[in-house]
Amino acid sequence: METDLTHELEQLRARVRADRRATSDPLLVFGALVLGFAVAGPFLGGLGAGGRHLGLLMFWPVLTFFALLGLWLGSRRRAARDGVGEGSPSYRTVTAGYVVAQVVIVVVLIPVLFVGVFLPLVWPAAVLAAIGAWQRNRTLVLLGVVIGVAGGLESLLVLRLSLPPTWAWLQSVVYALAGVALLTAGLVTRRRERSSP
Amino acid sequence: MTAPEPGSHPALELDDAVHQKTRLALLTVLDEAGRADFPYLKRVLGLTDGNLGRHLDFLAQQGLIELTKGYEGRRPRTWAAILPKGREALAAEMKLLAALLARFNDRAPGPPPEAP
Repeated sequence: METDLTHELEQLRARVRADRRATSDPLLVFGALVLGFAVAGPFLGGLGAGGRHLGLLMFWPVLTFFALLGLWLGSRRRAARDGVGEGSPSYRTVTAGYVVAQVVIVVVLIPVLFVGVFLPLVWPAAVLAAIGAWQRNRTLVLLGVVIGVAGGLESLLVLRLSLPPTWAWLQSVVYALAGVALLTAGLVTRRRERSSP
Repeated sequence: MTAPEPGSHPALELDDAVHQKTRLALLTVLDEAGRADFPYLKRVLGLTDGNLGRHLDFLAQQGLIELTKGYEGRRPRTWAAILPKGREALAAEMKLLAALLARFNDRAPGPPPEAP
């Protein structure tokens, strides 16, 4: 019957997605990046931190590029080893799209770079959601939206309350928790992917 | 095959090349993975070499997938990659299946009345 057939095809698609580690890989990579930001953020300083602000401004744009590059190389290695392709679009296309978007941002939309400074969780969340939308992966879209909205509201609240710099440690704790949440989601998903029939 | 008349039953619009269960599964795997090698397809679909080869050749002849035969070291390796026409055919098939399902659900009788 058609119901059974469509259900079987959905299961088959889920299995291939699991074999590609399509959900856990980006969650683990971006979870590690968010955790890294929580640790490195205080050392990179705020915008009033003299020459150090460049590190804060460049953190997300540059490290996101390396994260996508890592995902691309990882998926290529998996394709060669396991015989399952990189998905569609592949991370090669996603990385190329990201580079083009960065060039456009630097040339005509420089204020977008400040998202990574003032709303630091929104940047990786937007990238995760974009990958999910492009690869038709609902879990990634959902997690990206949740982290993005929660992180965005948290940052706006901090900006609105104009908390003194001594409270910066609290924000680092929030970012660390977000990073751990993404890593945990990635590990749980990886376990499910491995036990997929 | 003659084209079905507009407004005809969705079942008449199913494409035989795609609707066959194994080929539909193959296209689904390739749509998700982009490409896959012969042993992976064999493993994931539980097919024999001959059966898989026959269906892959058929899909390639229809222009829905592309087969690339090469070597990795001394080991031959065959990759199958879905083509845009294959994606379109799969999307059309899934749309028709959804239409059939909706039609079936609309006409399906409700649950039997409970015994007093």
